[in-house]
Amino acid sequence: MWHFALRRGTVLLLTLLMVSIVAFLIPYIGEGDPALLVLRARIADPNVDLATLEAMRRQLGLDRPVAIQYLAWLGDALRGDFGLSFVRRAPVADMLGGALLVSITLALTALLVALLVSAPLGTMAAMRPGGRADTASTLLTQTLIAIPEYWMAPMAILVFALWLGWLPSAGWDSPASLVLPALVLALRPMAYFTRIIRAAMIDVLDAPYITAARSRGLGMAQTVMRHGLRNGAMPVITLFALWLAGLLGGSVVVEVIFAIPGMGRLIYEAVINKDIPVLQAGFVAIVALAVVINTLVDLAYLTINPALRHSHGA
Amino acid sequence: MSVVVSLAERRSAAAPAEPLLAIEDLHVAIGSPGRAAPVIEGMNLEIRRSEIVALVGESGSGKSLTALSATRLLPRAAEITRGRIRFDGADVLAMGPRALDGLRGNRIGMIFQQPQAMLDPTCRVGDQVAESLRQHRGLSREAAGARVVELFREVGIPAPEARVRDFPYAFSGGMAQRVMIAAALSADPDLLIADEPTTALDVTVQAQILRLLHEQCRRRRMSLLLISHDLGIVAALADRVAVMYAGRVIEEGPARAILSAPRHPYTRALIECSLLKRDAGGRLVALPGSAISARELSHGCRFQPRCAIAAQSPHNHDCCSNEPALACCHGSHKARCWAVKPESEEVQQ
Amino acid sequence: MALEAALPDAALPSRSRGTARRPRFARPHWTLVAGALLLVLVAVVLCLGPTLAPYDPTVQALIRRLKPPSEAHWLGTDHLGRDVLSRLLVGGRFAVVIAAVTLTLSVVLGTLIGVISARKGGLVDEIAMRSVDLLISFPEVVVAIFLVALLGPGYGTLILALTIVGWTPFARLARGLAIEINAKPYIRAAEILGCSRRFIILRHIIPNAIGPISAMAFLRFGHKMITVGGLSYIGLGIQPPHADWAAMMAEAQPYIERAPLLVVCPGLAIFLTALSVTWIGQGLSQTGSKR
Repeated sequence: MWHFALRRGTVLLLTLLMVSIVAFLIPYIGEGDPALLVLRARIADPNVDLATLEAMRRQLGLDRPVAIQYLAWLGDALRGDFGLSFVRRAPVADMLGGALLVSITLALTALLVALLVSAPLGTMAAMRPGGRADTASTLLTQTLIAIPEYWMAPMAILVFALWLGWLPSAGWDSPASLVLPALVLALRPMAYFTRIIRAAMIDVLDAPYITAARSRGLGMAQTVMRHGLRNGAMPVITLFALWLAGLLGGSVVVEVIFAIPGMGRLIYEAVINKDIPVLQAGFVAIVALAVVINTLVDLAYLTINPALRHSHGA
Repeated sequence: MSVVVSLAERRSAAAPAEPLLAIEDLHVAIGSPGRAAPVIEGMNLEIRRSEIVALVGESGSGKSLTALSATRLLPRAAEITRGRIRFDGADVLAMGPRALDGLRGNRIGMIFQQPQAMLDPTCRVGDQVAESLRQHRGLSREAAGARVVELFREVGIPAPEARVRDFPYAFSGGMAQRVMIAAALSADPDLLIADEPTTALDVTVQAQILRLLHEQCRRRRMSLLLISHDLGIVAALADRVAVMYAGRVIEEGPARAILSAPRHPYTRALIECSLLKRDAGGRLVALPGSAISARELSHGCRFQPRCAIAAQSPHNHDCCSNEPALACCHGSHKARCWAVKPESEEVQQ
Repeated sequence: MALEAALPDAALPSRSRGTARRPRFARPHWTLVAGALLLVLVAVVLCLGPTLAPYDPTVQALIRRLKPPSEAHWLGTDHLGRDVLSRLLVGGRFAVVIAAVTLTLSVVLGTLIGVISARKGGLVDEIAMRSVDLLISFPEVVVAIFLVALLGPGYGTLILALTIVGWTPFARLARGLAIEINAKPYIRAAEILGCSRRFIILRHIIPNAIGPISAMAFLRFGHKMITVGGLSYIGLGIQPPHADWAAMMAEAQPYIERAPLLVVCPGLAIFLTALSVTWIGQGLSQTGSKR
C-alpha cells in the first residue's frame, strides 16, 4: 500500500516537473522573438522598443542560462505567481482561479444531471438485456453521442431563449444562465454513463456473489445495496472522473457559445490574443487537474477493493 | 437457547412421514420466452429429514439447475415451466419474494462450486457470514459478530477472531469454502444444498471439507443434497443416490445398492469409468459418445444412442421409440431402462 | 481517400476472417446494416458533392442573402448569398478526412504501443500505461487549442493534436486484449506445437483482437468528427472561404432567428454522419460479443 502510494507520488511529481518545463518553454516554441515574448510575459506591455528590449533583457536576466531562468520561473509559479496577463493586465493566478470555479460548477452540474438520468436508464436496460427498454436506451444513447454540442446549443438558445424566452441566451450572472449550457453539456456524458451503468449492472447482477447473498435470504434490493453498488460503482466512478477532467477546459465550445467565463474560454482567448502567461498557467492547471483527478480515482479504487490494496502492497 | 426451541417447534410442524423436500415433475427451460429450450424434463426427487442424498450426473445434465430450482434462484435466462416443489409442506413455486427470502438461508442453506467467487470481494467475510443471522435471527451487529466467530471455529477456520475481519482475497479455496459453509449453517437450516462443493479444490482439501459436511449433518440432524459428478465422494457420504442424465433421473436408490449393483447401463458406465476399469484388450473402459441435452431427443430412451444394451437387446425397438418409466427393481431401487426387470423376474431368466 | 478505405470493412460482417468456427446464426446486428447503408449514402454525397452541387459553393451574391428555400435554392442562401445546398454537399469532406486520418494513425500507434507494452512489461509497461492514464483524461479540444497556439492552424496541427490524445484508448484496449489472448491455452498450445511467433500473431492474436479494436474505432469516429467540427466552429479548424458544416453553423449563428435552417441543416449532416459510424461500431461490438 505505502509502496504503491510512494511510487504513484514519484510518478506524479515527475509528471508535474515535465509539465512545468513544457509550460516554461511555450514562449520559445512559438513563432516570434522568444525574448520579446518572455519580456512581454514578465512586464505585461506589448509595446517595447529595441533599446528598452536590450536593457530589459539584461535587467531581467534573460542573458542568464535557460536553466537558471527556468528555476526562477518555477519558483514564482510554485508560489502561485504566473505573472500578469498581456490583455487584462491582471494577475494570471486570479483570472485562472475565477475561471476554474466557473468551469467546475458547470462541469459538476452537467455531470450530475447526466448521472441522474443515466442511472435509472442504465439500470432499466440492464434488467432485461436485449429487451425493449434496452433497445430503446441503446438507440437513445447512440443518438446522444452523435449530436454535436455546437448544434444542440444554438437550437436550445433558439427555442428556450429566443422563442419561449424562458431562459437567458448567454452570460453567467444568475443560476438560470447555468441551465441551458449544463443541459447541453450533459447529453454526451449521459449517453456514456448509461452505457457503462448498464454494463456494470449486468456484470454485477450475474456475479456469483450476488447469487450467494440471495441464497442467504437477502432480498434483491438489499443484495444490490450491500453487494451490488460498491462493485458496480468502480467503472462509473472512473468514467465520471474522466469526464470531469475532460470538461474542465474541454467545454470550450459551449463556453464560447454561451459566453461563459470558464477555463475553456480563458485558454481560447489567450490563444487568439497570444497571451503567453495565461497559456502557461492554463496548461499547468489543466494537466495538474488531470493528474489529481487520476490519483483520486486510484485512491477510490483502493478504498473500494481491498484485493487491489493487497496486490499493490506486495 | 431460543434457537434450539424454535428448531424443535419447526421440526414438529409437518408430519414426520412427509419428505422435507419433494420435487415433482419439474420442467426447466432456458432461453428467451419465444424459443426456450428444455433442459430439465420431468425431474422427480425427494429428500427426507436428516438424509444425505447425492445427485450425480455429467455436466449439463441439469443437476445444478435442479438445486437452484429448489430455492428459486435460477439464472435470469432459465425458467421453471412446469412441476411442483414442496418444502416442509409448503409450495415453493407459489411463494412470494418475502416468503422465499425467509426460506433461503433460514430453512435451506446453499454452498457452491467456486467458493472464492461466491464471496463479495469488497466486503469483510465476517459481515457476509453474519448476513443470515441478522436477516433471519434478527441479531444485533455485536451478537451476530460473536456468533460468526463461534461458527468459524466450528468449521475449522484457525484464528477466527482475526479472520472474520479479513477480506475474501486472503482466503484459499478450501478456507473460502469453510466460510461459505459457516454462512450456510449460521441460521441452522433443515437442508443444506451443496452444489459441487469440492470440485474446485485440491484432493486433500476435498476430504477435509467432505468430512466437515458429514459431521455437521450428523450433529445438526440436517438433510444434505450433495451434487457431484464424482462417485467417490458419493460413496463416502450419501445415504441415497439419484443419477441424472439429460434432464431427468435415470436411476435412484440406496447408495450401497446403486454403487455395488447398478441397474442402468449409464450408471454402470459411470462407475466403470470412475474405477478406471480395463476391458479384455487391456484398454481403459470409456463411455462412447457425449452427453446429449434434453432438447436434442424427442422420443425414445435418452441414453439409447450411447447404450451398449440397446444395440443388441430384444428391447431395441422400445429403446428407440419410447421413453422407459422409472421402474422399481428392488425395494426402493429404481431405474429407467427397458432392460430392467423386477428382481424376481430377472432371477428366473 | 481514407473514407473509402473504411467502407469495405463496414460492409462486411465483423471479423469475417479467422472465424471459421463461429456458428452460422451470428448474423450482423441490425445497427451494423443500418449504419453501413447510411455511411454509404454519406460517402456518395461527399465523393460526388462538387458534381452534384447546383452552384459554386463559394460564390457570393449579397443581393440574395438569407433567402428562404425556393425553387432556385432548395435550402435557401446564407448571409453572403451563397447556396446552402451546394455548401452542404461539399462541406463534410474536411471533418471526415481529418477524423479518418487521425483514427487510422491512432489505431496503428495505439495497437503497437499496447501490444509492445503487454509483451515487454516492467518499466516500459509502467511508463506507457502512466502516459495513457494521464493523456486519456486530457480534453482533445484543449490539446488542439494549445497546438494551434504554438504551430498555427492547419491540417497538420489538427491531426497531430487529435492523435496525441487519440491513441490512448486503443493502447489500453490492445494491451488488455494482448494480455488476455496471450494467456489463452490455444496460444500456449500453438507455441508448444512450434508455430512461429509471426504465425501466432497473424493467425491468432490479430483475428481475435481486430473485432473489438475496429468496433472502438468506429465508435470513436463520430466523436472525432464532432471534435474537429468544434474546432472549426470556434475558428481554429478549417479557415473561412472553404465550406465546412461546423463553420457554416458558426457563421449562421447570428442569424439563427431569421434563418434557422442555416444552423439546422449542417447540424443534421454532422449528426447523421456521426450516427452512421456509431451504429456500425455498436453493431460490430454486438456481433463480436455474441460469439
